[in-house]
Amino acid sequence: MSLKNYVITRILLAIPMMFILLALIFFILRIMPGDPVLAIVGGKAPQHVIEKLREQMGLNKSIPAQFVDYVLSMLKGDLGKSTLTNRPVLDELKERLPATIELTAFAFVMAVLIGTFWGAEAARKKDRSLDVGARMFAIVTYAIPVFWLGLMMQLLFGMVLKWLPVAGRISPALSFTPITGFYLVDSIIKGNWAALWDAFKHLIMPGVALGLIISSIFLRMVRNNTVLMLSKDFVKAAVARGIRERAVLYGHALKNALVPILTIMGLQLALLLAGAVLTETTFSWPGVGSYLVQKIRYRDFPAIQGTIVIFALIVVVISICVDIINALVDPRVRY
Amino acid sequence: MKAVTSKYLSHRITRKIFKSSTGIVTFIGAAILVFFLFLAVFSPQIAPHNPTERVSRPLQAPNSEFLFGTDNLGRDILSRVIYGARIALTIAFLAVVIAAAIGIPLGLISGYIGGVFDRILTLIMDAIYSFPGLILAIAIAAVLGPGIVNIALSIAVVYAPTYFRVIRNQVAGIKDELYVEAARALGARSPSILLRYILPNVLPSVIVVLSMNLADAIMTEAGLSFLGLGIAPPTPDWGYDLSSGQRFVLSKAWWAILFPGISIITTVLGFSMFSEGLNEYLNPTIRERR
Amino acid sequence: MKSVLRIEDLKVYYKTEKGLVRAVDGVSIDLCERESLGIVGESGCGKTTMGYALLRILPSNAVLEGSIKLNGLDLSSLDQKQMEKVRGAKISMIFQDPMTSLNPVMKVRDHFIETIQTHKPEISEEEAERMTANMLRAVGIEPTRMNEYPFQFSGGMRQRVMIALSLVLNPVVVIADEPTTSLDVIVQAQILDLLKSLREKFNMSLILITHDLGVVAELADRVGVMYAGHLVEIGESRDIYYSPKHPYTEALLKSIPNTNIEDKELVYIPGGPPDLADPPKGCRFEPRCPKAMPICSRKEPGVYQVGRSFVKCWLYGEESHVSASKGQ
Repeated sequence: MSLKNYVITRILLAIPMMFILLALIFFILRIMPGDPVLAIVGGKAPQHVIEKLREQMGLNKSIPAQFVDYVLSMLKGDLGKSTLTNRPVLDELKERLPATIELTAFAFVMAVLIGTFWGAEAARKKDRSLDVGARMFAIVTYAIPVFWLGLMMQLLFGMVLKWLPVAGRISPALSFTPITGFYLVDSIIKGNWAALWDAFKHLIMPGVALGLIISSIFLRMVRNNTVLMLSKDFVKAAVARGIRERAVLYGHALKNALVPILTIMGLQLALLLAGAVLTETTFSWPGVGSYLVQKIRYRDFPAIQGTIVIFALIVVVISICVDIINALVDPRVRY
Repeated sequence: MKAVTSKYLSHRITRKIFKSSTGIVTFIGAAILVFFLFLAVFSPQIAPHNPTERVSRPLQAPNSEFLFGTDNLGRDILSRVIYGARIALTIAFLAVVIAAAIGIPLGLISGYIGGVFDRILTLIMDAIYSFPGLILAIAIAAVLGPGIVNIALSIAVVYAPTYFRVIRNQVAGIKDELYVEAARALGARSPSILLRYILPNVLPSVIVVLSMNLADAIMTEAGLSFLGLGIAPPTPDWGYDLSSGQRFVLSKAWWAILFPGISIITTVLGFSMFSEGLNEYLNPTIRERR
Repeated sequence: MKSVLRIEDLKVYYKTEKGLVRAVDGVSIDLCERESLGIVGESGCGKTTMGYALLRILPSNAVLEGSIKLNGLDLSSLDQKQMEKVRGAKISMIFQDPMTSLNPVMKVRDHFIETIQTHKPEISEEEAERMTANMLRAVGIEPTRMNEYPFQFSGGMRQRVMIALSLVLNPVVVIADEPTTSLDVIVQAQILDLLKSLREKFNMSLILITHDLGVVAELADRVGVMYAGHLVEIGESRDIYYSPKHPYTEALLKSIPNTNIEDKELVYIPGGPPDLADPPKGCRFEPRCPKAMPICSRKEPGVYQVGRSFVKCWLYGEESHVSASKGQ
């Protein structure tokens, strides 16, 4: 199968998955016990107010009819209006998304770098201190809640040492107006180096907190897989051809170790998204995650539903990308 | 001479324990779990103060009377941490039991029947599995509202697919094996085949997944409570006690952040270390979402 | 004939929980230019360990003693960095299982380019590609296939690739470790023929490690027989086949069905090889030897010349005392 055909097939396969996720979200938010209207207005509201709201939200129709409405509007890209701000949910999410992407990208890159290099070196020096350290780091970090790590960092680096800002994305004093919403990119476009430095300083703590937590999973997988690969015949054969130790480790063992890791990368990215919700809340980071939590506090159901649908879309897109990257790296997948 | 021998022997024994590092890990994990179970069961006897009552000035640093200090409402943090074990363990166990109660029967039936039913159910479970667990739990918890059972239910939905997948795949693998065929040939009916022949064979993997999920469930519960979606205040809860964390940061009340956090970390460590050992011991082949 | 590889008193011990395992224990061999030497023995006799020792690719718990002189350069005294320059360029190895010896995510071409440019960074990519094409042609593979991945080749084809890869830098010595064991019979014969013709074409010396005396008969000028870490007999192939001196060689020949030996009866050797962590004090074959004498269990035999062969056996102890001889 050519790469192009593979990509097309893979995208077609994603359609039922997206549909199931949409149905799942609908099921959770509409059918489970609990009434969104009552949740909005509270139990003591007069009956006619409740009825009117019900009609407004299309909740007086039958469940299947509601489901059709919902799926159709999602397909049109209409995520509804926020009951709190009366603005389209999609617009609000568009403003928030760059912040989340900036944060998760930083964390992801950091996790991959730590995981790959420490993991590979730990595998090379199996059972020596570097390796034992890696294994302990992985076990302990896995048990640390990201919000707790964030709070401790705020306390130490923000309050005690005063090195880094405690929360937010940029100092209000700079009165920075974004273009794309990616502050690092925007400040470079504008040539505003003070803003770039400020935005970067704000990004460090949440990025590192989230990155460290996710890195433990990568580290563990890279280390174990590389140890396995180093015992394979093709590694011995490469050594026997005089390939240098470093090239054998990174070019032969690690490259093969990353193949199975890539296939489950989608799950790790899902974990990253979940971690982003907690991290954003901890650091008042104005992303999609803290948006969700805020809207939950105000019981803004259209916004909650829209945000979760966007998360579902992201998950599906990521899983497609991961599979395509996987096909590029491992030729066996394509055939 | 005797001293030399005993020294040699003790060296041998330590080396033997050291050799099976999984042994040590499992032991430490189990010890931590027993400790927190003890705290949870006997919290009224152990806790020095009422966890929900104002007993002193707010935000007092640790001192001889309040070993872990007090929080912003003047409550004893040590007592809240001790009582917090109750909520954490209760919800985690409840969540895992509910998840298993949903996932195992569905997995057994789906794997045994196969066909379209199995395909559809697998697709649904895979979709849930691929979705970020915490976000799914947040959505459900937001609908259901606070409360121990509601939180446990939200977490259970996230982990049910794990049981489903493990059981379904194993059942699909062994349902055609000889001893099952033989039972069928002898006239055993499907429910009895499932319960008497297949279930006992997939049970070891269930136990491992169960112990792994307990660690994750504690983590998810802490996350939900941190976001304000857990049990209703003023019930002591580690995650909830951290939700006013930013206030503690600003007043540099490190003790109010440190101790609830350490409790979460140690409990999760205990469960994951224990399950790690259990995994190696019972079932070296399964690797689930870690 | 000029000697290219001189192995003297080679010892490889593995540090294990049971203690030191003496996998190779005092082996001395001289390999000549363009010579093909077969090393035979049962599995676990130390022949593969010896092959790994020559390339210094032993596992980290191994201890190496003795000297390995390749054209006068003592490989046993080199560090790993210096060894990297020797491996693949002057001495190379063909492995047992071609299915697992190639990197699955690397094109065949890149295996070659990497090997060539590691040793000769001055060679351009185009030149390296030309060398690859020539080499593949020499082993009977269409050069256009170099852009394929290993999984697109059959087992026999992959072994051809491995052979080409081990020869591409024209090494002095090639070690082939059971090169045909995992292949089916027809492919085995093709690979052996290929090795035979390449040896002449490339002027290399070949060490052929195998448990299959048939393979050795096909390809080797001389044969060394190993048992429990010792080289018990070494001599011209013909002599080993038609007048084996060591009781173990004799037994080994009788136990193998597909040789040209006249013996009709198939005999198996009773017992199993000794525990190398705690080997017998005297001759290591003594517990299983039909011709054992009292001295055999007491003292390790020396190496004695018998005809043109060298034998490590007390049976020949009285005949001639050339115990210091190195088996050339």
